[in-house]
Amino acid sequence: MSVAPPVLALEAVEKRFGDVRAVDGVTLAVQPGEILALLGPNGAGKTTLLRMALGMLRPDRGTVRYGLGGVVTDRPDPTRIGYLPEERGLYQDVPVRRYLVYFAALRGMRRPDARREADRWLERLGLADRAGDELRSLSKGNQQKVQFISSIVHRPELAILDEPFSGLDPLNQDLFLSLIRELRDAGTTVVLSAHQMQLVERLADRVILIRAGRTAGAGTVEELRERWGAGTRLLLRVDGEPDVAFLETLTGVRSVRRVGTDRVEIEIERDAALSPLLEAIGRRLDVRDLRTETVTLHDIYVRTVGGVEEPAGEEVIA
Amino acid sequence: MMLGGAFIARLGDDDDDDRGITLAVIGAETLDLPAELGRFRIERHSEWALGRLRREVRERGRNAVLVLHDSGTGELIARQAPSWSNELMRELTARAMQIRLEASGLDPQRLAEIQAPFALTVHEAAPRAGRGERIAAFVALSLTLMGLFTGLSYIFVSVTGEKQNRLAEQVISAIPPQAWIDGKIVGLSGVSIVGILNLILSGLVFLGVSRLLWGWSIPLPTSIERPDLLLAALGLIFLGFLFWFTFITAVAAIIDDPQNSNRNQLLFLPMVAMVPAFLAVSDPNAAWIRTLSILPPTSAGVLPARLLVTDVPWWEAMLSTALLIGAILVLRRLAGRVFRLGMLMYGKEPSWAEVRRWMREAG
Repeated sequence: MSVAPPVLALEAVEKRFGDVRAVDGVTLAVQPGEILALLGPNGAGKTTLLRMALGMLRPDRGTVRYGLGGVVTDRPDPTRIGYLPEERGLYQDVPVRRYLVYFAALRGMRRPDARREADRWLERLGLADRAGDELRSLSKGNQQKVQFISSIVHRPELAILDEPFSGLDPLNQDLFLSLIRELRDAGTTVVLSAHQMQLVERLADRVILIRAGRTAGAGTVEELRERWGAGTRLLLRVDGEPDVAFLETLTGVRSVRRVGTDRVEIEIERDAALSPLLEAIGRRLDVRDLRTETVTLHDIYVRTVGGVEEPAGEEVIA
Repeated sequence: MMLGGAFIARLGDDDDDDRGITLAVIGAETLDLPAELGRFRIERHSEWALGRLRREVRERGRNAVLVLHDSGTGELIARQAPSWSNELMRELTARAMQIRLEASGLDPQRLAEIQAPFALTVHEAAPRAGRGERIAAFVALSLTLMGLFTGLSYIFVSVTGEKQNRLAEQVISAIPPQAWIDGKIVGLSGVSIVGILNLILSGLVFLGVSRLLWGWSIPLPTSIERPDLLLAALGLIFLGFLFWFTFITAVAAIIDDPQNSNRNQLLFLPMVAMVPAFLAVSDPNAAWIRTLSILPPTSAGVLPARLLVTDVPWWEAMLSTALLIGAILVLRRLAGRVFRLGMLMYGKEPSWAEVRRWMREAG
């Protein structure tokens, strides 16, 4: 049985802008039908990476290959790729449907098909009655919906979405979340970058952490948790202001952090036995409240890429 | 505008050369002057009218007054010494000689032989354009300038607007930047040419109607009978649009804020390059004009001007066209590279050193 080639494969790609190395030897392969999320701080090189993935920038070194339409090539086919850029703009004086049909036609779609698809998506996103209105008359949220539609209206095999959730309210974030899942379920491979960790955690099949232009971690969220040894976090509220230094000596405790005067966060190792730990805590502390929570993607992200300063000059082409 | 005004004034300088001149003559019987002497129309007056005639000359009511004396001398009274005084003197000398010869009793045949002029045929190697050619060239260049300015404005607003509205990435992800820039340039060059043709057509209709209704007429250039010349001039103007629109597209792509960027001044460069084209109308065969009509980018304006007012050697036209096309192809390539990266740069303008690096680098 033959294995389908990656939809997108970057091999040791590098890109410099003057003295700044924006992307430094990143390798990744996007498998058909998956949702891959790129995470990293501002200036980490995500947008540059995506622009190289789209063929808008050529890497100084390394290769970019595409496996779209059953053909492996090093030339991107814009009719099979959709792109939602981070820097988004609209032709403000153009009606909504005309705008969508124009971009669909640019990406090789026949105009009747483009009109039909545009109307379908506008209906789906509750904008059918605004199809003839100029874009400038739409609210910011609705403009973002139109921009999202324009990136996928031509039914791409690969959708590259740069910060798709930025600027959206929680309801629209949930809407976009379900739309991206629908895309994936319909066979579109999705690569996205985002800062909303809780959304990425719910959405992404795989995550790649980018730090200073390099890959700092990659895998499913579960794999990242395992790799970082992250287990459970105990959140205690205690009476008084007791000395909690003894907690770090207990078996299975990775770290202890005091939050205010009466709260303590204890991170325990994965698979650590809880009963003896709780018993030891109960002997020394007067616990008033106890909660547990799993270490989140946000925690892994902060631990992985935290403290890294934004490389100067990356915004030059970002 | 100043250039245009100066040019029109210059066109007007030659008016007396082409028109007849009316002379009020006192003592015309002295030389038995006919009603027309060369291009001078003779009005006979008595010496009593001299005072009135002097006043009319002073007040621009007439060209001049000629007073002929029995002694074989004369006086010419004009506001200033006219450019045609030598011509008048030649005519009067010839007339006086004829009268003396007739008085000498020679038979008419012998007299005709003596007076027969020497047969001299003049062939102009670089004939000066007629008034019609010069007016047509001036109008064509003015329309070109108008089309150029309109097209440059469209391109500038279009590119800086798309960049400011953050549309560049969406478009570049859908079509190659070179296709985008090519489409803009060819499209707007075509729009500008169609605009010029519209104005020419409207002008011709206006002239036709004026002629029918009011009998107005202006001298038409002989080149109007040479559609090949007109097409060649139009083709060169189109190439010129392609060159300058390509240039300005690249410039617009490296401007971040069109309101405040000092790179806006580069918009005037194409206008400056058109100045020699206007000068070429008056002196189309000067060495420096010929040189500028071969070298791009001035050739796009100077060569069409020369084609309309003088005979241009075929090799000069071919060389000029080939160089212009070559320059457009090179500029297109460089502009495409600058455009591709410039359109993605937000928040600052690239330095000229960066722009040079983009032009050198393929990626």
